Amino acid sequence: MAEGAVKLHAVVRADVGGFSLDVELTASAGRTVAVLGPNGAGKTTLLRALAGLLPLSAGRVVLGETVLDDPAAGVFVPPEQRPIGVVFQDYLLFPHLSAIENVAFGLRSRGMGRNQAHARAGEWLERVGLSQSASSRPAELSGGQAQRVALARALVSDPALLLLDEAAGGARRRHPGRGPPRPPPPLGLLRRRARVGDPRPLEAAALADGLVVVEDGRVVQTGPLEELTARPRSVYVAGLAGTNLLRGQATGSEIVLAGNPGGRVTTASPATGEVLAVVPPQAVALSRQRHEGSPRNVWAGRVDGIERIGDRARVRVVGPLTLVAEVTVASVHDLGLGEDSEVWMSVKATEISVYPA
Amino acid sequence: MRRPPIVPLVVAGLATALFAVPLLGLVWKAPWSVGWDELTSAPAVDALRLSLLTSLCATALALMLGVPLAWVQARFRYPGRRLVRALTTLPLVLPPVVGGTALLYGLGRRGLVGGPLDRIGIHLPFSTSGAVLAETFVAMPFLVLTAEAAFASANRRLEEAARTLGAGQWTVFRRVTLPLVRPSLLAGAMLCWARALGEFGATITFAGNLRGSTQTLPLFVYVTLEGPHPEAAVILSLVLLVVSLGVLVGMRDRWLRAL
Repeated sequence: MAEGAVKLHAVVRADVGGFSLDVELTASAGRTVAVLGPNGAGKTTLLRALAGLLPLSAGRVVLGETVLDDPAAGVFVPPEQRPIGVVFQDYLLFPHLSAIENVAFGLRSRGMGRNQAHARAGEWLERVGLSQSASSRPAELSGGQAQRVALARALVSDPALLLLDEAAGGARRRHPGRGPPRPPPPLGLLRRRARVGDPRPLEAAALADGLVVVEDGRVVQTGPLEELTARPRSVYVAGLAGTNLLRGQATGSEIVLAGNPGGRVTTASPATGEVLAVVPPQAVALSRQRHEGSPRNVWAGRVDGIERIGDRARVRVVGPLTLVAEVTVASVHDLGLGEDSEVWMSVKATEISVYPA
Repeated sequence: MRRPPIVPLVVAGLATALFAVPLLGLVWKAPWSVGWDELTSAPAVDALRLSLLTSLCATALALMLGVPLAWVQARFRYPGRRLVRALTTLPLVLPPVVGGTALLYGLGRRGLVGGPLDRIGIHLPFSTSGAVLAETFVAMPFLVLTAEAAFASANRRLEEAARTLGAGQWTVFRRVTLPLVRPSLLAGAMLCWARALGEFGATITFAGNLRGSTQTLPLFVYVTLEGPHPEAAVILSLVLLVVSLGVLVGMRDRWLRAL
């Protein structure tokens, strides 16, 4: 497979149980595409389909010059013949093999002799900084080490496409303050091949060249990170970007919120019809008394939760509409805010960006 | 710890005694002074040697036939699968003598398949191969059940991972599936071997009781008990008992868990 020319183009339609997936995806050589989505959105199903572990019900997968899947034409390349490396969510290292044997597995099953395969596997273990653990069994490795072994195992056969199934695991979520774990060091080595990953929201997304957001088996939004955060098209995307998303019917500079007849928002940019509006949390001001003669967007609410991030606090307020406000920890103290506190939220019309839904 | 109420306690004690008393009796009656001589007498040695040979052959045969059967049963859904399961489990509950009779009518000289086999020169009944076959018939279900449970519970996703690493189906089986189920296969094979070693009913019905060629240890014990020197029977029974106990201890709770 000629590197540099590899390009993945996939139209994946698959049905598993009652769930149906219908996703189109393109990745060119050296580019990383991150597939994001809430749990059960179909990310893993998509990865399995690309790897050939799940038959397509329709669609077409082309990698470079090779058609891997085309059910209509009866084309199906079995997983063992696809030039695709997969790092599974739970790594799936073989428990009965040592780290080096795990890494050498792909070379051995493609017919390479034991000594040569182990030499190559040893080089890869060195690259991921695990030479010392070559003879360790997976049970003796830490989670991070297992991940690096899994990565080396997927890359040792020089795949044209690397699939990374990385979900936000429970163990990682427990350290929100320290941020998501850094990806393993050899990422720089991967730049020349196409990658499709399903990384922890926004962390690898920041490394990715393009994002595809999948919800309920369908693509809801694609584009670079900046665009997704600036103009989220779903509540999930807005949540990833940490911003507030409102949906409603615009008439001039007023939006009547959908499913919430009492909720009205005034904006500085007149629009008509179905719109989405982003309210940055930093733009939401909180006060104990109603502001006099200030912004027109003022609502009474009740504090539903406070999350501290460093010296900032994210305060969730439920009222005629629900918004997250980001304020300083100091002002939370000054206002004496706690769970269920009564509070006024206000937003300047100019802070709200509006775009067609 | 909570003490159980009196009535179940007494019944449980009785139940345990039912198992323990005969074994104690065996140990008590054992003619320790002449034990070694009886054990090394020519007919006893013949029976021992034959038993080892046939039970090991039966275990090997069960592994060769039973492992693929268990794999197919665990991994594929096909019409008649339950019937096959019932058929291959039947010997567990079938009286062995019925099994032996059935073997005679199936593979005997005038049997359904035995007839044609006989004409091409393969004679199974009343031969050592017949004894092996009878033991396999009775003992293989233990292996198949254990192996099937192991194949069913082995992590299929590891096999998928192997496929993405370029392994074809046979390589996946050899390098991933088999190592994963190896402990269970070993347990099943031991159980199968112990059962084959103790096989009596099917063997005597189908293979007969010919010293040196079909008279296995249990058959020899039975014949000796009727004869003038029952001490030999006792001592050989003890040998079988020790072997069975050894197998059970060796496996601890593994095969029970596998089932």
